[in-house]
Amino acid sequence: MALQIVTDSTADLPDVVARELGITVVPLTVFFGQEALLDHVEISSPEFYRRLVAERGFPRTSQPSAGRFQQVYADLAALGATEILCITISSKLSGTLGSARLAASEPPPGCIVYTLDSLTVSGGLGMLARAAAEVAAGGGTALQAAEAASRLIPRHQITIMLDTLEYLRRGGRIGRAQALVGGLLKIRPLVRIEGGEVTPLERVRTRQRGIDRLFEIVTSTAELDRVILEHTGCEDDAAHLAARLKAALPDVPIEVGWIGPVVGAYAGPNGLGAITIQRVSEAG
Amino acid sequence: MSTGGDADRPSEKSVLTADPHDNSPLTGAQIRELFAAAAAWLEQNAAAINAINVFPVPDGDTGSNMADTLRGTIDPPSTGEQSAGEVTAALARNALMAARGNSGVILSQILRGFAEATAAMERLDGPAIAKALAAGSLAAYAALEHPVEGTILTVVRAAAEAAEKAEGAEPRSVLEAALSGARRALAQTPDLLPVLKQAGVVDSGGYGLVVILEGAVRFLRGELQPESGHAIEAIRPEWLEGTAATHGSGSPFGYCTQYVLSAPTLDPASIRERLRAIGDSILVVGDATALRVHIHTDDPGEALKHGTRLGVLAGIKIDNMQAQYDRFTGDIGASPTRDDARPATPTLAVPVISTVVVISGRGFTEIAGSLGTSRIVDGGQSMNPSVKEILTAIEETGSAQVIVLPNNKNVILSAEQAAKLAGREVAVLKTTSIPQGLSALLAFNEEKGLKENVIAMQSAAGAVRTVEVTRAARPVQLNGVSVKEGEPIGLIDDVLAVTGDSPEETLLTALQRLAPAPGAAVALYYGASVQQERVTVLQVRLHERFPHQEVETIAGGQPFYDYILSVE
Repeated sequence: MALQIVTDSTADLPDVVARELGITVVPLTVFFGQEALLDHVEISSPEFYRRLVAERGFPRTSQPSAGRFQQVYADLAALGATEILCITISSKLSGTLGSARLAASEPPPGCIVYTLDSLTVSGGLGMLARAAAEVAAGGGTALQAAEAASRLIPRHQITIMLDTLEYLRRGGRIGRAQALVGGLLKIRPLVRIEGGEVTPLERVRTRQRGIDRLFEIVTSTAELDRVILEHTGCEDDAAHLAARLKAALPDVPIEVGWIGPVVGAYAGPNGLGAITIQRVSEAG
Repeated sequence: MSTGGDADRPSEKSVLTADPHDNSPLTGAQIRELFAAAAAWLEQNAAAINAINVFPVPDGDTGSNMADTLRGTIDPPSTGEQSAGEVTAALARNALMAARGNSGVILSQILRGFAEATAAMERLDGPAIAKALAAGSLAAYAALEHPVEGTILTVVRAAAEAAEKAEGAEPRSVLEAALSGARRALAQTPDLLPVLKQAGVVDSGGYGLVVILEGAVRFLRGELQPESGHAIEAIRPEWLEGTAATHGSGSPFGYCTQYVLSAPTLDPASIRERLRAIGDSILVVGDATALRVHIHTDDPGEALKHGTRLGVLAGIKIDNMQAQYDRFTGDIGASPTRDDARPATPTLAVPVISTVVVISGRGFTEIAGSLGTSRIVDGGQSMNPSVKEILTAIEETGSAQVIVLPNNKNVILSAEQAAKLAGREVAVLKTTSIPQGLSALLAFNEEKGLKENVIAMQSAAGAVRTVEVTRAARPVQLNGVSVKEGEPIGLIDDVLAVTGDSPEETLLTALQRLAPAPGAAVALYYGASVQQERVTVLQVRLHERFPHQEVETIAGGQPFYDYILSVE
């Protein structure tokens, strides 16, 4: 295909989906102490959360190098790509876009590389990459793919209930969600990704209350097209919420998936998130 | 803490030569050693650099990333003689692959420029090093779409400029000049980048570059002992606090969308007019065939669509406003529009809305403080503060809008009286128990307005039911049972409701009466007079009687009431 879509591993795309849609995924790295593991490649989500809980540490993460992106671009160009659209995790959360852009400034011969700041992460980023890949499969150009992906940015919203803010704080991604700190009381913070960064929504006293809020948020979303539920190790809660939502919204497709290791390093274990995706109008 | 000595730094001897360099031009092998020494020095100082990392993402890893990058550039010593150019070329090649983090990437570009300028050289003298630093600085700027001053860029440029003006021509005096230039520039970074000033730190990437130059100079001086100011001692506690404080910065805007639009004929004025419908801060600059378009909008897709109707788009960039703002105006030399002329970071001034909480008990006071209460009024033994005490607390907040939580029905009136005298907008919530007050505080959102907060907080408080267990101050009749003075009694929402053989039994009966719904939050606050053993026993009994109910147990430290329990 003349147009190839590249994203990074924080899109948390299942391998089979990425392969089927022809999306090339560049992995970030997660570190347990000195042990470096390629996100999704050398460590799976279930294994990551098992270790996160067992080892009680705060893993570090690191963006792919520009050289890594350069290699990926070169490989795709060698396979015949004349245009590459690389969509990355929000630049407010990671420096990945910087590497992708730097590599794009010296593209392989005969190939143009575009980069797009997704301003989102995980299932949100995955959805943008999928939309771009559909345009590529239909013979579209990189700019058409970028437009299709960009239109989804303001049409989706990620709300996550965390078990604790500690991982976000230690990882330097807490941003304005600092306001949700519960002090000496046990609370569950609900945060959002807005404008590409973590923002506070509210704090509730119990996990059940938090899950109920996610339910309310999803069911009160106008023009709801579909829902992605994502979790950091609490599969049962995700499945249970999915069942409740299916009963309440029988016509809305609901996907359930794992938040991957790199994003999980900041979300911490037992987080549950809902991504609401509104319909994108074809007119105008 | 020890201030140093050989014993603390076993790694130093392995990388630093014992003799000062003889001032002759550097050979390939010497350059390799110099970089290895600089990498080791950087590694030792990585923690201090991490501690001040606030820009562009405050993730505290600049030092580690730069150290990883620089270490990754060093090849093992070669067996044959290598020219200076061969060694710098290898460094630059390795750096691109090893680069981690934004600062690591920029460092790799500096090395690339350095290598290009020294490609054909057998050995490096002082002027060659100065030229190479200048080339490194240029390469770093060129690699970035939006170079930001007050960062490692400013520092490397200053280092190169100072190196060029060095008095001596030998490597050491040139690098010493570069180091002092870099240090001066580093000290100025807070004046160039507001986020640094707000955090009270210098730029972490720039600091990393200073440390690298320090390492190089120390290598040439043959210094085994580190200079003053190193490693852990270099972390100042206020840096860490400053770093934490910048986590509060955020963007008030939507999405910043930019692209370059090309077409045979373009009319900037009509494009501007059309874009006005979907956003603001519109800039359309360029000529009739190529325009740079910039808009702040909540619908970047729509902004792109406008462009695709007219011509071919390139350089699409959708970004968060706040970080974008400074870079963009610097980039195209545009003067900020009125709307853009906001401070790049919020100031740490008096909050617009403050909270004043009347509370008693040490534990409760600490909890209220930990939830970010602006002012706490000690209700004292009888929860009966004076109007003046409340008024003083309201005034001390300095805020134009204040929300007061009386947390007792006998305090509401005093609070309302104080509100009338305060000469500012004061809302008094009708919270009648401390748990109600805490739930209201949890619902407080400093980013929302007064009205919205009052509604959210009142509703949170309204969802709380409170049990208070104390002892009868006088004989009372309760549901036909007479309770003697000193016997346990339980109040539910301020109404005398239950009694029991012990305070614990009374509490369990009261909770039974409330019958919490599944998923309800139950919190138990024990008083100042209650010993830990009694609490432990009560926890076991709570679990027996309400096996599915999670109960959070907290030391409230309140007087008179053995237990205060809330269900919401």
